Amino acid sequence: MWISLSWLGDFVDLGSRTPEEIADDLTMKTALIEAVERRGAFGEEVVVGKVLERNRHPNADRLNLCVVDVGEGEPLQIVCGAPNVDAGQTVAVAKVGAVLPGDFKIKKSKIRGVASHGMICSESELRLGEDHDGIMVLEDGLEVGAPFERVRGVADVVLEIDNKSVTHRPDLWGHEGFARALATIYGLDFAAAPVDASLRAGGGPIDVRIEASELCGRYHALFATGAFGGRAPGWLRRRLSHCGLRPISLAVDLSNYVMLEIGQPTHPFDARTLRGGVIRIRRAGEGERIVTLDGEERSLPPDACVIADGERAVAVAGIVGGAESGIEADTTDLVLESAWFEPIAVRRTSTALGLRTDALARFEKHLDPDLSERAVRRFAALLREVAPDATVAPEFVAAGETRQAPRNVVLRPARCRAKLGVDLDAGDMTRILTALGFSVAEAGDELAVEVPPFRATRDVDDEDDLIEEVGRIHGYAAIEPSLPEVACGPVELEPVTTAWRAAGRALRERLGFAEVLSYPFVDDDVLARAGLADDGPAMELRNPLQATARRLRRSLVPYLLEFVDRNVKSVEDVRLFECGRVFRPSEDAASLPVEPLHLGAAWGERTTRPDGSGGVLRRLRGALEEVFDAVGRTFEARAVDESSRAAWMHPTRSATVSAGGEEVGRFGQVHPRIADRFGWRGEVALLELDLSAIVATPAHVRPYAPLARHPAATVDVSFVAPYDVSYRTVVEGLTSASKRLERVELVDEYAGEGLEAGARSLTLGLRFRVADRTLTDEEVTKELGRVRARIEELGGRVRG
Amino acid sequence: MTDDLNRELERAVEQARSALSSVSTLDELEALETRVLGRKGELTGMLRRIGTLPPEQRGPFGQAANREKSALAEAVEARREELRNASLAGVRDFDPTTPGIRPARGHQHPVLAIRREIEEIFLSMGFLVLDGPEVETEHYNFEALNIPGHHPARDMQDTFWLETAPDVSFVMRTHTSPMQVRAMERFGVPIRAVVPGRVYRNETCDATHEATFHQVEGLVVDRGISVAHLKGVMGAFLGRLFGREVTVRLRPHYFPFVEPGFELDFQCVHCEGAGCSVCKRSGWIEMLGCGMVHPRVLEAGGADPEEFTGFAFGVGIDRLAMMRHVIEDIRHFHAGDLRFFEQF
Repeated sequence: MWISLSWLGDFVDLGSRTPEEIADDLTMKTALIEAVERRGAFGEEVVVGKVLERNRHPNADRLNLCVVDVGEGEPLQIVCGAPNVDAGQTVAVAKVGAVLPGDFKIKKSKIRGVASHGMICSESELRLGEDHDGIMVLEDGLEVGAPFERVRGVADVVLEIDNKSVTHRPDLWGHEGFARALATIYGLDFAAAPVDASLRAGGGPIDVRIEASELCGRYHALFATGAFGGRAPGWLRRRLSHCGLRPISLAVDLSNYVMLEIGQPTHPFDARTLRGGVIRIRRAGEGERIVTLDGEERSLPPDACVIADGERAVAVAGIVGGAESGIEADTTDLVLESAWFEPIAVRRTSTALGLRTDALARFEKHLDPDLSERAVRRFAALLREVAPDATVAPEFVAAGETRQAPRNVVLRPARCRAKLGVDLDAGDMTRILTALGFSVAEAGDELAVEVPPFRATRDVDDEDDLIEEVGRIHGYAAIEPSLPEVACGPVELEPVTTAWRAAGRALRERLGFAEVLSYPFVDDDVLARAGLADDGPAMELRNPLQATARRLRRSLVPYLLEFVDRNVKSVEDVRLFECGRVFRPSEDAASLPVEPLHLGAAWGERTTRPDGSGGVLRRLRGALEEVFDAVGRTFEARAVDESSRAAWMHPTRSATVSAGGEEVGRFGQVHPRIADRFGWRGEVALLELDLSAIVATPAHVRPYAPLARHPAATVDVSFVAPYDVSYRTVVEGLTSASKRLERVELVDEYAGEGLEAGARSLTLGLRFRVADRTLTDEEVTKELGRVRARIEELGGRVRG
Repeated sequence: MTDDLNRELERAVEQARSALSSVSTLDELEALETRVLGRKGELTGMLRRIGTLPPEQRGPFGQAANREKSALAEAVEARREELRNASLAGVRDFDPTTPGIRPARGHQHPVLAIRREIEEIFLSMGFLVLDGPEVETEHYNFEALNIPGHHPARDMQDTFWLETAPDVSFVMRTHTSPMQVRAMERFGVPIRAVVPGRVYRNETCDATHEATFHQVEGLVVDRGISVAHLKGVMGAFLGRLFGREVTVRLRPHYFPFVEPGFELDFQCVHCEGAGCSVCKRSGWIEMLGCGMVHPRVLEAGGADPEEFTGFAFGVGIDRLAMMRHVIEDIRHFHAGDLRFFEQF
């Protein structure tokens, strides 16, 4: 929305304040000003010119080669594409060096091989109107060479309001509201727009029937005759176009002018087109259609409020008029509609039609119902001013009873001071509120405030709203910052956040993983590629961005696979992890879903390394150990059984992870079927843990043993055993076989060449010790014998 | 007798000194040192023979011999230093500009990095750091925050709604603000807390819009909390976050769950407020929304608005990360491309 400073001058005298100063003060005290722009000032380089000759361009049929006198010695040669240019016309010429609105610089140029020394301007190029089909032809007798702005330009400055900053302020959708705000900010007098007080509510040539009173609370119809299809005066057209509206005809321009001025939309009908002598405000009928002013045929939603005559809909209430009932060039009899429509309903209809208009933007804000009558009176006053030949019927039709009830709010100056943290007295508050249009009476320690109807519809309804008014106008910049005095107590992160941080640090800083984020909405294809299309019940979006991405993730695996795929072609070694919520529906449908925080990690390598040299799977298991160390918990890993194996997991190279007796995650190599589907060579292993479940298990305190006084004996032992004999079984077996075995360490694991399938060679580092002396060689040999025997018992074959 | 020994000493010292000047390697020097000053060296041997002297001569000879011995030892050290320096002054075999050897390096997500910084700042000011559900009820996301049924923020185009049983209504939270009420319910008042987390908007993604991004919500409720405190805490927070004093302004803005409500702008750090392309020529950059907690929100959280007041703020951190690193496209944050993450 654009606000013209000269227009504001009708209601408040802003003196010599600069536009930038006004824009700043409005931004800090009322609404965000997004831009300050000059309009109607063109500089010395746009001048009045006279077209001396119009010739065909030698190389282009549609271009003209004009010779134009601009009051200098030599006439200028200018190429002009406008069809209406002709010799003898007086025109506006932008000479080389001129800068037109929109920062359009005029330069010397060659057009189709012919030099052009400037431009003959159209209305739209000078932002004087929207007409860009042809050049603007000026009246004869103007001084050739004179700066055009002295002849026609009326310099103005317009401010662009950020509409989002006034969604809650129906009173700020016109110039009058901003003038009132500025008068308050600067302590100036404010004069409201003048209205025609002589008009009376009564009857008219057309009967008005509100049949849907829940959708239309007030309806006024004003009748007038005049040359409504003609042009409005230049100053009025200029104000509209400076504010971004295209001048159209007297009736439409006046209607728009009233809207931009006081914020109330009105709609002009050509009285000839209204049939049956009646205006009905009713709900749209089943399957009812209307051709709107933009020429489009629209079907009306069933609960839409329409304006109809005796036969058919002639406008969509509050949004757009019908094409058949609009103002034509020869319109002489006018019916002007001004009304109050139910804001939620018009908004709903607009959404259903997919059509937003300037009128809708105002109605949906919940206007003051009394503004409807004021708009009719303002329109009449303006019409008398700009078209003395027109006549206005002394009576207008008024229907509907909706009024904004007065609202009384108590303001306690002490609370106002405390909440703002600023020292203002009741007098300051009274002054501010009164200037804004509130009535204020002192009642003991309190102020009894009556909210004016134009602020009471939606905006101001309790004490804190008044405190906002006072604070805003006083100025938040004037409030001295201070830190609150608060009680001192321990603070902490949520345990799961602490675990995320610790695990993330280990993965990033010790293991070189990159932390990523993915969407929690999983695409069906992504889910299918991970083999998780039927992974159990999921929460679903009712209105997803894409129809195929409606499910909320239950696992981080699907996008980890996608991200590995995205990188594996360009990166030799891919290490990624994500921490994020997954979502599982609750048993009880009325409860929110369960949202545990999961950690997912992927380790992918383009080249396969022989097992035992630490393929990605074993290194990922190392990462798992680091994560558990970092979060201070312990886990057990077990070969995955068929029933709990996810489809992405390799049948034999996968495991479940449990902690505190509960399954809290899984890891494993990606199933070759999935790797093939992505076309990967090399190996990819994945890990997924439920961090929320892990932090719920008991924290692990590292056990301590007193420092030994006597040296240990360290011996390595190598043996071959099937994979089915687990490392854990071996360690437990050896520990029970030898009481003097203090520690077992994995030195090496090897499988492959030289060993049968399903077998591996393990080398263990064994440490024997007793507390009170040094073991003798014979004792160590004896213990080793026990260990070897146990290995053989377990199915191993000791080497060497 | 003494004269013989003295002469011998003199000769030995002289020879040692001349040998010292002619050694050219550290090894030769070591051998010389052993031969002269070692346990079985010449000088040591002479000192052992001191017993053969008459008692009155032993003292003077011993002193002279020890003096010579330590002078020689010093000379050996000096020579050692010379030889070592000469050997080190040889061929250059290290280039300090060659990068060192480092362990594999991981990468922090730039948005999560800022999230953690903000958490630390508020922890240091005594704020709780809380978590809340990403799927939220309509009540907490809207009604409890004084956002009535017809508010534009509730339109289908802004909010992701979930398929639910007919009698309940769940959304992907559109902001972290629902945690204002949940936090008051869980901990009561007074309270000071921040809530970092993911939020969702049903918006088509482009270079500057994402359907999901991160926010940090803040809430302080106590007796006597005022706009002055909001300004004080925001100033302290931003000063720490940017590592320097930043100029901010509170501009009035409407949010249904605060009154008064503000947008907090900070002066553009690129142009110092003069106006540039980063700040769209305004000199200011919109940073966060904030305000004094609306009495109805306090009531929804079980606090008496007559006794307690408070302020709240919500800051979107994806945009902060984009500003900090000059990232051109917000979609990188969720694309999983290592070429992007390796830069952080």
